[in-house]
Amino acid sequence: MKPSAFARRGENRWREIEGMLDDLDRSGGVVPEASRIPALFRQLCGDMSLAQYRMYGLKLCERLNRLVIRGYRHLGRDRSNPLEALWLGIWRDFPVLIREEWRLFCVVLVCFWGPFLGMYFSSFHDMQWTVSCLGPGTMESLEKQYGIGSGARDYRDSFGENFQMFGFYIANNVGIDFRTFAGGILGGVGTLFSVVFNGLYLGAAAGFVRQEGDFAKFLDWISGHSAPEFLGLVFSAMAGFRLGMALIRPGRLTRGHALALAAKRAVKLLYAAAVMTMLAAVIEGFWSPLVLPWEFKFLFGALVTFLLLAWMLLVGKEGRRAD
Amino acid sequence: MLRKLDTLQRIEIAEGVEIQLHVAGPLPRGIAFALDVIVRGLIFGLVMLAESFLADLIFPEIFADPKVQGGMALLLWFVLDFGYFICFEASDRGATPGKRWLGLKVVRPSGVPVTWHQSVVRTMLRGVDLLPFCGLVGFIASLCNDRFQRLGDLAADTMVVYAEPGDSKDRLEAMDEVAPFRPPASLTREDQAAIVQYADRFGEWPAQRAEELAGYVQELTRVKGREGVTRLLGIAQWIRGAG
Repeated sequence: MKPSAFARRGENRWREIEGMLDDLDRSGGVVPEASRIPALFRQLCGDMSLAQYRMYGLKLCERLNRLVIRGYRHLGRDRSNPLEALWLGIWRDFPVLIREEWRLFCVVLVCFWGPFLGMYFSSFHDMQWTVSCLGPGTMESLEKQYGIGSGARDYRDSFGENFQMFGFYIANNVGIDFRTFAGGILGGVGTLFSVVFNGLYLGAAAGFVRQEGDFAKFLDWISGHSAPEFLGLVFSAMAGFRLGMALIRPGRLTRGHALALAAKRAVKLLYAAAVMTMLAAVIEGFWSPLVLPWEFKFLFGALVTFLLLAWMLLVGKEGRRAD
Repeated sequence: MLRKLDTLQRIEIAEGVEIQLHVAGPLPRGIAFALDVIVRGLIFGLVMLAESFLADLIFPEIFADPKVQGGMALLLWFVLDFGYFICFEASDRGATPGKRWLGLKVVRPSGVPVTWHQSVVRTMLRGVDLLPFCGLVGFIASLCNDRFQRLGDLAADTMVVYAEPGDSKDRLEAMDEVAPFRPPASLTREDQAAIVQYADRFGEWPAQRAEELAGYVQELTRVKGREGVTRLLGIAQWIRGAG
């Protein structure tokens, strides 16, 4: 068959599907006769492979190629709703995934608490490491907030101040989660650095306040939000290590393939981390500055910790995760 | 050999046919990113400006507080910093405004739009790709594979392509007047493809170059110079079955 005859024969079909695709692009995915698209599309694919095989020329092949790509984009599109995925994740997928990755969970715990406790207890003997880890600026602000003479409970008192700090906690802490995750692509080194650094820094801060400041006030402040904040760091570090492991030990897959597969799992851990850190930001922004009897605040902190542990250990069912 | 030289990616889709995607290189992508940074900054500025005007009208006792505004600015910046890329790239268009201006699009290797998860992954890893300056890590990574994928693309399994691949201009009007010519020897499929592609691209080169190329297959055309070109085009016509 001559190319011109081929083009004449196919022209009406191609025009039809082209028109439908135009409508689809305009209407955002709803056209009345959409059910005919798959059949037309298969025919179009047949036409294209014929044209390619018979070498009917670049122009015709390019036109069909463009049409096939456009049709394929509509047929292969992902219609899932991200908010629904997040909701299902919280009540089903995330806890299951976290339990499946319990080894990474333990690794992160060691990487965090080792430096933390080491730094904390070093301050009992000698403050030198603590001082060099924190630096003068941080020590000054810790002194101001938790120093012995800093007043019993003079936390922030205005809504504006609370809101400002809430914004800061979201932008800063969730940003740290994201960077901890992203560092995983460097073979997990960036993630490891982030976890160890946070362990050292927070251990030094705790040790400093223990030695020099009002430790009860410090505990009163952190009791509410520390559990979700800590879990946020842990989950994002697990996600980062998952990426890093894919590069270090890809198993039977190529590194690229292993990385893409690992990222699919890791991104869910990252969502869990973001949820945790946002929860922590709400608590730290609006609950922690409240002046209440310390028993209340500790009880609240214990309740949050208990609920989070229950969520991690009990929610969702193994083997029913939709990947 | 063409497969190695070309930025065209041949991808076999579920229907069993091969589509050709035109992968975008680091330069247009870098320009698109710079434009996006500017657009994002403008959005941030405009929203904060609007907020400061509206604050006096709606609940001024809350929104006019500079500390509340500071908090909103931080939140807005955080949302824009990540949300801008995630939302635009996961949308049906699959492109941020910067990418749209340059005619680019983010797709899965099969050519379909990316999922939300993929969009999140490639956005999160953009920070690493921009290290240590001017996106050097991403640049090097994109030179190490034939799809110009930066690290974020590799992890998310995505790539950036031209939204409208290959649209050759109609420069072959004259071709129809060339009489088909039966080649004197039988040609392999690869030879046939080379000759048809010569005809497809005819018009992109000056006449001397066209003659020079046709000269390489003088055994086939048996004539020199302009006539050789016409004859080669005739063979292409014959292969296509035209006439």
